[in-house]
Amino acid sequence: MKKPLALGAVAALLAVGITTAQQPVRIGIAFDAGGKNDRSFNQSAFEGSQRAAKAFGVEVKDFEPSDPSQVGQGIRNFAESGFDLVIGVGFANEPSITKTAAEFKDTKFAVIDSVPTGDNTVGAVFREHEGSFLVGYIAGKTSSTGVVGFVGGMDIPLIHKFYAGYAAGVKAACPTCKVIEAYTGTTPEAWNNPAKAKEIAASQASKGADIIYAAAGASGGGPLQYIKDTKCVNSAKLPAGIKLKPMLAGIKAIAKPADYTAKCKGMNDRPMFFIGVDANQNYLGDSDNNPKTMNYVLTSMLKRVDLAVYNLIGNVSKGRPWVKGMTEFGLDNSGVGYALDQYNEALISADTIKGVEQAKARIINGALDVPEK
Amino acid sequence: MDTASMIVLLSTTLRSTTPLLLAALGGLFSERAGVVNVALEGIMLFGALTAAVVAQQLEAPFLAVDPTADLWWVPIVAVLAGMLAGGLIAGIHAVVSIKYKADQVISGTAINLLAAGVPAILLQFFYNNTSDSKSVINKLPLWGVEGFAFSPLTFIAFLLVPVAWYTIYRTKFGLRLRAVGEAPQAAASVGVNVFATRYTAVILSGVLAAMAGAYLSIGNLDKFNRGMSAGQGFIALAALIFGKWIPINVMGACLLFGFFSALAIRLGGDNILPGPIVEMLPFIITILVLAGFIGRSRAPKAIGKPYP
Repeated sequence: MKKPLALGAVAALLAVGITTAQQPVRIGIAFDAGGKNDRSFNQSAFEGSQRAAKAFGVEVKDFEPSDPSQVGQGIRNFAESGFDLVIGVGFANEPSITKTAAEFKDTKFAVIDSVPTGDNTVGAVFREHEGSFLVGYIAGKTSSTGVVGFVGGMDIPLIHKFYAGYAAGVKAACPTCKVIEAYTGTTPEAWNNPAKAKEIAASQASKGADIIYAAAGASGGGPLQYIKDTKCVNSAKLPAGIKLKPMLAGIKAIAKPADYTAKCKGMNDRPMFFIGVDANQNYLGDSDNNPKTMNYVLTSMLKRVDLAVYNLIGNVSKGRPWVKGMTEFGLDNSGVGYALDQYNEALISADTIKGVEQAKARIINGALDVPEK
Repeated sequence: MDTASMIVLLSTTLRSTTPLLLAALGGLFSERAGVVNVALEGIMLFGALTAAVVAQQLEAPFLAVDPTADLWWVPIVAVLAGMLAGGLIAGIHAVVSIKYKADQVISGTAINLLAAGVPAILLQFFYNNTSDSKSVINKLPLWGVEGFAFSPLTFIAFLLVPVAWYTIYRTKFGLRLRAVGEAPQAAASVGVNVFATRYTAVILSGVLAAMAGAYLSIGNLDKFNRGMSAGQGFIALAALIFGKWIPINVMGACLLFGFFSALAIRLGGDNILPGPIVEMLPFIITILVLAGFIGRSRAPKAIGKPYP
């Protein structure tokens, strides 16, 4: 019994030796319904893989489903073609990864956002609630109405984590603030329905929301567009019982883009803001190609899917020992965070940054526990 | 509920109804002539894609000179281009199901599958990106007062209801349309060209469904996202059956679907009643109608049957 095993191990080692000598390590990456250019989750994974391809000299091939029913296909094809590592981006890829991994024991498999079963698999999961807490805190400090919105994509526990952290962050910064929660749907189509997400944003604005955080994949473009179209809230249009706070000095001081001043110059107008997700979406809020004028994206909750993918490819291409099971990314290892760059540094006051950084430190050292649901 | 939220509810209803109504009126012409058009969903996507890409490509050279160029003709040309594309795609459906007498549902499904794949290839060609087009600056304008303004296509959609009624019930073309949908042999025996009438009807349905698509991409939003029709073509089909293939009833059905969808959005986050349950209501009513509880919905007699 021992001998064949040992022989097998030698043969496997030889095979590995030969393949690495002859051809580069091959990585297959299969995306979720949003597609690799969703400016968000999938794109972040794609960019991580491209960076890794350059850094480690590996070959990366990708598979994009053309509609939600195709998610998970392509994984088997990668395994059959003898790829060294197959990455499924998004929890919807988990069932096919688990199934394929059981058949192809020599191939390594990884899923982002879910944990597959099998010794040759690993799942990278994120503590999105921690990052969402930080952007929620910024929203709570910045809101002029005391009401902020959350637009989730598919109504599932993974997205509830974003909401839970966000709501807790808002309350930490502004205990009297209200958070409105809504989702675009209950099927995978929810990730690609910007029209409905835009209507949800309109509904939340009519309830007084002036800042909207979207964790909805490609649907997030809807609320962003609503905010860029509407630009500001006006005290006359707010529901009864909501009073505008004075405009924050920092925001008052920023030069406003022409499209804003044309519509919202009154004393009773306050700018509306969007909060992006997964990738840094701050640049999407620039309405006049000038980062110096006011930007409609307040910040973005960073979920470093690119980092997870990059590390995975690095580990496999360098032949580091395979750690099966779950890898967690949170604030402690910079797997999640908030975006601060030339587009939004003027929007967020030094005071708010101080508060965010304190909260971050307390989450990392365990003093502050962010709810997951 | 205060006035402000009533206005939001009403405008959300009208915005959600627009694409349904345009597509359903398209389906109405096709099905009245006896050709099932399950391709409405796919044609909407082709219309949305064409309108967005044409608008973006047309405005690009002008924006390069002046980034805020206001070009009123861009969205008009883009919508017309989208309608043309919709007519062409519907033409494929017409040739396959009228000339080659293939199963109409299968031909329509094939177009829906094409619409899932082809946009990615075109987007890759134009934008090196498979999920969405570049944002269009010169999209369709909004007509109305601040806070209650709609795309011209919304007005056109509702204006088309009496136009469709008049066309179907008061014109020679309409009479022929109904005749070939009910009894093509009888119509042919009195000299009606069944093929020509059906071709016209199917192509017209594509033109209208594509207009619905153009509304989604450059009317309501500012770019094409893949899969952005999100099943609305199928809801339009349901509205068509619910509305018993009669224009005014179809409008009522679309408004009902639009209203419940707006209500679900409005209730979202209030924890009064779960949104998905509210959204299900129109479909439950449709099933009841189809089961004959509320009133029979009778399809044109020759629907789905190829004419020999």
